[in-house]
Amino acid sequence: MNANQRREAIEGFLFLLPNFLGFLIFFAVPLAVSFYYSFTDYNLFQPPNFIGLQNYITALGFSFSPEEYQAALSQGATTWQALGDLIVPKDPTFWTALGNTFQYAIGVLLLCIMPSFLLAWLLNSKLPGMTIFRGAFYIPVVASIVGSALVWFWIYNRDSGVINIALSSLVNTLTNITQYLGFEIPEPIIGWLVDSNYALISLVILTSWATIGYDMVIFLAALQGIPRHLFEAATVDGATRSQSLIKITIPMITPTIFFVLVTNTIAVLQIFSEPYIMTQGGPANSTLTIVYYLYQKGFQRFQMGYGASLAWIVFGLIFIITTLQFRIANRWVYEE
Amino acid sequence: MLGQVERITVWQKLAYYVFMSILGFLVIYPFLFMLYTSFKDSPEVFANILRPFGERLRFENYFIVLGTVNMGRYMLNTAFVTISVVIGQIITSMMGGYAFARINFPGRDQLFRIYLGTIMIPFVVIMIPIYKQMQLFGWLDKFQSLIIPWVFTAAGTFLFRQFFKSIPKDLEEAAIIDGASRWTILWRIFAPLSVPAIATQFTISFLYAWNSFIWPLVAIQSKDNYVVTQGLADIQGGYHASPPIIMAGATLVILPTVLIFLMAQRYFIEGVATTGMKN
Repeated sequence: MNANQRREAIEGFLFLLPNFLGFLIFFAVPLAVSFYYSFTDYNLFQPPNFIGLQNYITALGFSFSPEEYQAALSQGATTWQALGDLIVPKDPTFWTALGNTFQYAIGVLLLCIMPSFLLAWLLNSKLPGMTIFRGAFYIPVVASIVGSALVWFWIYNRDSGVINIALSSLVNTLTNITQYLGFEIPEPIIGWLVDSNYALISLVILTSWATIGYDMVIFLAALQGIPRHLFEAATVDGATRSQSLIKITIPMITPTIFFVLVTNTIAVLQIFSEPYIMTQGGPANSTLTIVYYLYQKGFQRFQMGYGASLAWIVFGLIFIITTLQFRIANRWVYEE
Repeated sequence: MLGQVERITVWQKLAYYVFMSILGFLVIYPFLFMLYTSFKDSPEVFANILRPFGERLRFENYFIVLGTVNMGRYMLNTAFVTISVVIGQIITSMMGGYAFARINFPGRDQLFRIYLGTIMIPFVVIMIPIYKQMQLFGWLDKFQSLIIPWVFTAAGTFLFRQFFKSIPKDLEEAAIIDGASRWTILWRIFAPLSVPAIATQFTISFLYAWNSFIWPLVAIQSKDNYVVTQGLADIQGGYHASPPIIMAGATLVILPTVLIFLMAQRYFIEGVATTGMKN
């Protein structure tokens, strides 16, 4: 390395220094410490003791109790019901939170991917006014989710919320007609956020509403990136609009579908604000997500060692799901 | 739709606009609801929640939120934190991006790959140690904890590296011959050319900082240092029987980002599209 190269290297380090120091102090070190904490019983007030895999065993482990199983069987439970007594999770709340988070993710993916693609497809035209529509669909993405959750909290309100009021006036109108036919439609009063059957789906709808615009913009960029000559050639060959959609558009944007799938999944696995603001994880833990559970354990009960292990489980999940999606994608994503 | 606009009849066009308008209305309805409710009083809300206007526009709701509820203070706090984070992120990302794009030093590409790899690690993984760290530094419950750990961004560094790589080399070569330092080149030649990248990073950083919630929630305890999202969560507890107050608060939190979005829509969309495509 000559003097000039050395000088350049030093300059390079200097330019990177502010960034790199921050990266080291506020990312790399906490990351290592977090990993260490996850193997300790740290609780903020006492120094951490190393306890090996105990936190992970508590979160992920099960205990077997054959006696309980036999007892349940002798009390007339079916084998299937008795299994719940045989295999008991050490931390049932963790599994509830994990199950909720998965349902949440599946719900959001179902409500977001297809509709946002269709929206992008509809918006991808030369007609005037498209930027206005695009802007309208994107506003929920830029709005603070805490603010949006509070607004939706009143839209979902059981007794005086917009949805239930609108639903019942619709039903009243319909009943005016159907009463001549001899039946009435019962007034639907759904406790969107207070009924454990509906609470999670209510949050899924909110999150999807706040995500669709984002997915739509990514799809739109992908659609606009498809070379026009492909469509022109297809039209010359007599392809119809729907044939072009299925044979050209969709194969060309499979990498984008994949990207949206991965980013949405990663985002939903970290959901916190929606349940915190709207339901506090209730009713009956039906909207407790894994990050909310982490917050409760780490910052409300100060079980920070256990909280750290939950954080690493979240990361592990994200890692596994992303890798899995990449593996599967190799089979169906079209690459040029 | 692509390339086939010419063949659409007037009726199809009309149907299309009607359909999109209904959809657009439904999507922004929650914000309309928020706005009109913020100008009513509670009896008017409960009398008819769907009716856009009460007897008159009650601006006093906003005075209550800004004054009594102290939202004015929270907005100033958040503005200070947000501006600091945005400026900090842009400066460190530009310097880092420049080093990664244009300067040769040993280990550069390996280091860059590590940077990229960290983008997928979620914040919650480091939340507990960062909390402890802030306690050790004495920054807990202070603005430092909301600003200093957040002015370094791997994603922003990546964005500027990509942008700088697309700038032709001969532009800076002339400056180097004239004896300009790299520092001068970055701020005098690259920075003026980077307005689109800076605007894009601005939108990303601004949204991130203004809307952040879980970290301020754990880091800030004193009400005097609350940020807007915390203040808003607090209103919900105190004014749960008074939707207009809550909606006025929500409007104050949501409006700044929406206004900036409406003014700079292009850069928001570009930010999403570029970070989306190039990863």
